[in-house]
Amino acid sequence: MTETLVPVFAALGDETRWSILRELGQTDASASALAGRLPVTRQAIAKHLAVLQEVGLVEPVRVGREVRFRVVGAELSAVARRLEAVGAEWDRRLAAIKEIAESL
Amino acid sequence: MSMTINPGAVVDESGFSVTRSIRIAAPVENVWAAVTEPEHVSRWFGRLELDGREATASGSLSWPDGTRIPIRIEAIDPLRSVSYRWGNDDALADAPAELDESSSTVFTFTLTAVDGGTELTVLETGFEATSDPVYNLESHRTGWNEELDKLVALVESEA
Repeated sequence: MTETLVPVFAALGDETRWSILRELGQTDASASALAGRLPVTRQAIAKHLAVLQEVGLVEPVRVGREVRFRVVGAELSAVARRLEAVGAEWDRRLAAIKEIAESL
Repeated sequence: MSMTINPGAVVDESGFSVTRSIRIAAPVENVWAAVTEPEHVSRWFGRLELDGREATASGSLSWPDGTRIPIRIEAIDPLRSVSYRWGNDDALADAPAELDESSSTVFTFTLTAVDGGTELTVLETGFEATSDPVYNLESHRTGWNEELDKLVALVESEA
């Protein structure tokens, strides 16, 4: 069995979860703190955080009596690198196609 | 390693895709030949062998090093667009002999006549299903903020 990115992509297919990731990209935060910054209830934030945690995009960190969430970057950066590499391959192929078509 | 922003990567409901466009100073007919005729495809991609020229025609792409990848025409609209499905899963050590719907991607060329030539756009979709060695192997976490910024810029650049 090979791991695939399906669960990560599924988790990312939601505007609110992107907002949460952007906020957490600035600084670690608790569900309550996120609810104060985003137009979403604390309960909804908690559900979204659970989805993100499930696929390994965030992890809880206990700070005193508070549980804050922190983003885990490896999966996302892997996605970005993969797409970047695919794009670079197409740049090369398109340049070759251009050369061929223009010389026909 | 520095990471450049991929201007063509987009996120949508079905997953991630990569798209690129290029202007070619040649008529649509020539560009069409370059992206569909096996003798030309072999020059920019790999040796293309197909059992037909219509949708569902299947065959393989192969390279001198012995790599062979299954490929199929998904749709074809002469001089306008052509879609190929291929087993583009770099993470697998050995390419599968048969096309696996769940782990292959589809790339579509769209040709548009423009002043002075042709605009050729390629869109490749389906990456959410392919395996990824980096994803599998990377367990360390570093430089998160920078990476998130880059990814957000990347997915929003064409949103």
